[in-house]
Amino acid sequence: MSPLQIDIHRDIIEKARTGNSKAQRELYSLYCRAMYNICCRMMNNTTEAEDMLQEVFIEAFTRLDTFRFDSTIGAWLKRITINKCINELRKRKVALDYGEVLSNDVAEEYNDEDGADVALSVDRIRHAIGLLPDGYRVVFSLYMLEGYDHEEISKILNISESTSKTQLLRGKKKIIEILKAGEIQTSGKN
Amino acid sequence: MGKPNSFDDFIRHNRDAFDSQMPSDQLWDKIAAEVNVSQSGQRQLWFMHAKRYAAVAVIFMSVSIGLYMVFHSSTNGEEMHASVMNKEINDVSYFYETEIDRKREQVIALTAETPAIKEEIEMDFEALDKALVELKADLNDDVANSEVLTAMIQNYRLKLQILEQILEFVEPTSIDNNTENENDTFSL
Repeated sequence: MSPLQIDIHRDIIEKARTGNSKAQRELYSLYCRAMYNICCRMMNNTTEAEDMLQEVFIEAFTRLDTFRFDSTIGAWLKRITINKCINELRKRKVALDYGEVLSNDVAEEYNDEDGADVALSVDRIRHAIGLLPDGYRVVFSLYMLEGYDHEEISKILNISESTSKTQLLRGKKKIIEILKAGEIQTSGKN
Repeated sequence: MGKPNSFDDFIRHNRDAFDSQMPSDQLWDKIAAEVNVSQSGQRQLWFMHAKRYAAVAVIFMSVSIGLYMVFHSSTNGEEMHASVMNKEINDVSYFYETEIDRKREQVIALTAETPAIKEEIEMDFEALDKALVELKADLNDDVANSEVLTAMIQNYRLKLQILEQILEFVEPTSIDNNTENENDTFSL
C-alpha cells in the first residue's frame, strides 16, 4: 500500500475525529455502499445488514482516534464490518459449519472451467450466494468479493487454511449447481 | 488463469457490480443521532475528568503552598502568628485598661473627701502596674506564652476587683430606689 493511498481522505478523517458531523457524513457517504453490501452478503438479510451498518459506523466514529493510517480507511472499516457481522452471527449461534479439511475429492469436484457453460450474470450469482449455507457464503464472500486470502480468512474465522479452501470450492460448486438448476427451470418454463 | 468467461474471471471483472445495493436514506440520521449522544457523553466524561483534575490541582497547589510556607517561610508564618496574637492581646489590654481607668475615675470622684482611699489605691496599683510591666516584657519575648497572658489578665482583674469592692462601699445604693418604685409598676 503506497503512502498516497493510505493518506487518502486524511483531511476528512482528521475532521471527523474532532466530531465534525459534516466530515463524518462525508466518510459515511464514501463507504456506506461498500460496507452495506458486505453486511448484506454476510448477514443474508437487508434489515439485519442495515442494523450492522449502523453499528459499524457508530463504532468507527467512536474509535476513529485509534486509526493510525497504517492501512486505508476503507480497509479499516471493512475489518470492523466483517468482525461485527461474524460476531453477530456467532452470537445468534448461526451454524458456521466450515466442514473438514480439503480432500482430493473436494479439489476434484470443482475447477474454474465449470462455469464456462453456464450463463453468468451478477444478479443470478448474487441470488445463488444468498442460497448458500452460512459457512460457504461467508468464506466465498471474503475470498471472492472482499479479496482476503486463505491465510487471512483462517485468522478472521479462526479456522484452518485448508478448511477455508474447502469451503470456498464447495461454495463455488454449489453456486454453479444453483445457476445450472435455474437454467433448467427457466428452459423448462419456456 | 481460466477461460475469459470462467466463473472466477466473471466475478473479478464485474466485482463493482456486486456492490449495487444501497442502505436506506434514514440510516445516516440514526447513526448521526447515536454518534452525537456518544460523543457528547465522551465530552461530558472529559469535562467531569477535567473538573476532577482541576480539584486535584487545587488541592495539590494548596498543599504545596502550605508546605512552602512551613518549610520556606516559617519566619513569615511566625510573624503572621505573632501579629494576630499581638492584636488580640492589645484588644484585651485595651478593654481591661479602659474599664480600670473608668472605675478608678469613679472611685476618685466618689472618695474626693477621703484622700486616704486614693492613696491606698495608688499603692496597691503601683505594685500591680510594676508586675504588669514585667509581664508585658515577658510577653514580648515569648508572645505565645499562655502563662504570661493568664498572669496579665489576672493582674487586670485584680485591679478591677479592688476598684469594684471600693465602689460597693462608696457608691449610693440603688436598691432602695428600686424598692420604692416596686409598687408603682407592674410587668409580666
